[in-house]
Amino acid sequence: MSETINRRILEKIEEMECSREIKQFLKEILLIELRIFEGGSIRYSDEYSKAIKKYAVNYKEV
Amino acid sequence: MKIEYIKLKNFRQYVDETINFLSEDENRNFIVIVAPNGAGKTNLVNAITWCLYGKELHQLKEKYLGLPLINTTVLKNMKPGTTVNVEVEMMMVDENNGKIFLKRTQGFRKPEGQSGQGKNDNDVIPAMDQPLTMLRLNPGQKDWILVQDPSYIVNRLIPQSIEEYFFFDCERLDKYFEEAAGEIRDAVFKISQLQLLENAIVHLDRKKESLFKEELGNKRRDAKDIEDRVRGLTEQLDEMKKIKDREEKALANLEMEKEEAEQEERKYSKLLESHENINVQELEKRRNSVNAELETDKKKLRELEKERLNMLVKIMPTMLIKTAIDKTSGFIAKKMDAGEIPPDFSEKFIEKILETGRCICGADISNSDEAKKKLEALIKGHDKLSNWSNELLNLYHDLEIVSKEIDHFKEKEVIYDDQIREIEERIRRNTITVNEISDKLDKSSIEQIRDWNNKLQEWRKIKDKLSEDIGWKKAQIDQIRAQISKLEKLRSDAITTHEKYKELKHYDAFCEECLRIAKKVKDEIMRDVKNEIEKKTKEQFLELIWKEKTYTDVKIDDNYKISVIHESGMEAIGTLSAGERQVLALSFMAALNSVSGFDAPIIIDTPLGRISREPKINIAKNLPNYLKGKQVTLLVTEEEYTHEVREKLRPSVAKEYKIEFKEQEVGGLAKVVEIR
Repeated sequence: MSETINRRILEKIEEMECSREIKQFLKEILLIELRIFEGGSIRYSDEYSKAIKKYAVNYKEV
Repeated sequence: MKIEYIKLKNFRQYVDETINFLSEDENRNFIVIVAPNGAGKTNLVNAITWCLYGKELHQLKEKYLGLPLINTTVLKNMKPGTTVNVEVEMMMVDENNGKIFLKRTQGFRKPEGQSGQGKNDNDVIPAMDQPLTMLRLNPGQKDWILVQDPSYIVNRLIPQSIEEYFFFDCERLDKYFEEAAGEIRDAVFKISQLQLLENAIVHLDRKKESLFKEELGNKRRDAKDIEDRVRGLTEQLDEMKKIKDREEKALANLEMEKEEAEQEERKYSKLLESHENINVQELEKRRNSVNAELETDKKKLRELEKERLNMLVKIMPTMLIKTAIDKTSGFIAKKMDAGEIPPDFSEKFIEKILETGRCICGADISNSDEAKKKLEALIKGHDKLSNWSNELLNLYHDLEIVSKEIDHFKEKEVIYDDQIREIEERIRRNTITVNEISDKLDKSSIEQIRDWNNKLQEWRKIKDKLSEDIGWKKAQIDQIRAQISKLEKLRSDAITTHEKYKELKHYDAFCEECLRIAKKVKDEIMRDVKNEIEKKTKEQFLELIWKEKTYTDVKIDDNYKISVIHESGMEAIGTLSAGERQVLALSFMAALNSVSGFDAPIIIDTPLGRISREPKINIAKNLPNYLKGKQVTLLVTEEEYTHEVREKLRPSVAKEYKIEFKEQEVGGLAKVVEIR
């Protein structure tokens, strides 16, 4: 049973060499996908837009 | 998450049974339910899937096909017109002691008019379809909460699409390897939640591609286009501002020139005012006008005097004898007044008296000769008198006319005198006016004034022209300002677009990097999961299989196609016995579960059915290790659950039940008895 994201995926994201914003963003869109997968009536496009704006603000391009 | 208990009421062969799954020993996670084939093991799994999803997802035994959910004995004993409920109730508990209560109910009504005997006794009508009820008790809370959308929560616990990987039917397990490898791969994706990552990548990629379209209403534009537009608009704007500055300077010059013109105008006005406001042209015009009037009056005066003289010459002789006329006229008038002239009788009257012989006094004179003679004498004397009288009367009238003419002349002379005086007065005044104007004009330099006047008029013209030019220039500047304003708005919009574009470019770069990382995460997890499943499947299979050296390796490719490598080096999955395939399937499922992202209880139906004694013991010994921490329910037959198996599993078993089954005419009755 899972009400959260597979720990393996979360750990793998944490291991990645990338900014904190990217890691947080990926975790957030996985939660969006979990809600969609579980039958939640969610518009992914709107949710993704919000998440991109939230995390891209502090993201520094290398 | 573990099952605490399941309560079944009138479901298939279970009339009223409760199975508790938890023991006080937390390390014991295995529940064993022993039952003969057909006693209700699969229906127990179906009771769980029916409770969770409203469907019996595992294959029914042939004898239950076409039967309603309701227990057949209960159904048979139902009275027509009555309703009986089928209920499955579950309590689940998580590691933090949060609980979820689930209950699904289906009512069945027996139609009226059935005897309770005969072949139609199994006819029932689903009377009530009560949706799943779910209550939730959060950790540390005392109050249960009614869950509004229980299906949503159920799918969060164990999605229906992958339930068969948690509720195994071992009689079907070996068939998994016959299914398309892609389906197993999809299942692995779902179980390990890689599907979520895959979906996230797809959605993020779509989002990234639609970013520009959504925000700017068009597809990706070249930054250079936007920058060029901003630059172009800036250049146009600068150029327009230069034109505006130039035109404003020109306007300032015009205004200065106008100010100069006004100064000049004021100067000449002042000069002209200082010369008593002499307006030479006006004065000359006035003098000419007065002179013309003077000439007219003089001419008119001469004419009047001539007329008067002519009239005087004409009347003068008469006037000289005016006294004689008056005397003569008076004499005649006196005679007339005395009645001497004209004669005071009529000749015809006398003649009539003579003719009639009767006097006017009435006396008869016909016989009076004397009277007749006198009358006849009167007639004779009358002719002479009458002639004189007429002459005098004519003279009198002529004298009267002459006298009146003299009087008329006098009246006319007065009028002439008045007119002459009036004209003379006007001539006098106009002569004075002309003299005054001439004096004034003599006092000024006419040429100078005319020159000043001309200059004044010129400056006024210049000023008027400049005013017109200034108005035109201002209109031009207003137009330029409007263009500047429009250009500024366009540039502002272009800058906003540019800023938005830069922002979107940043988002795009962010998404790009996120996609790169997400793909890397997915690839690495896929590799890790596959490697781990491969490793665990291999370890478990080789550990469980009884032909220890016959098989050397188990390989799983990227599509989850499983290969078992024979000691000869050949792929041997096609040659595995049914028992070997079941061991492989169990090994694979245990490996799959160990990498699963779901903390779900596992129910394995007939796990050891086709496996011989030695591997059975091996499986019983090792399965708890393979599925450590998972609540595992084994539905076994007496044949599977041998003494050795029981002994090997004993340290892990929390509860042990036996299903006592009583065959009925249709269906049967099952009782779950705890045996340990």
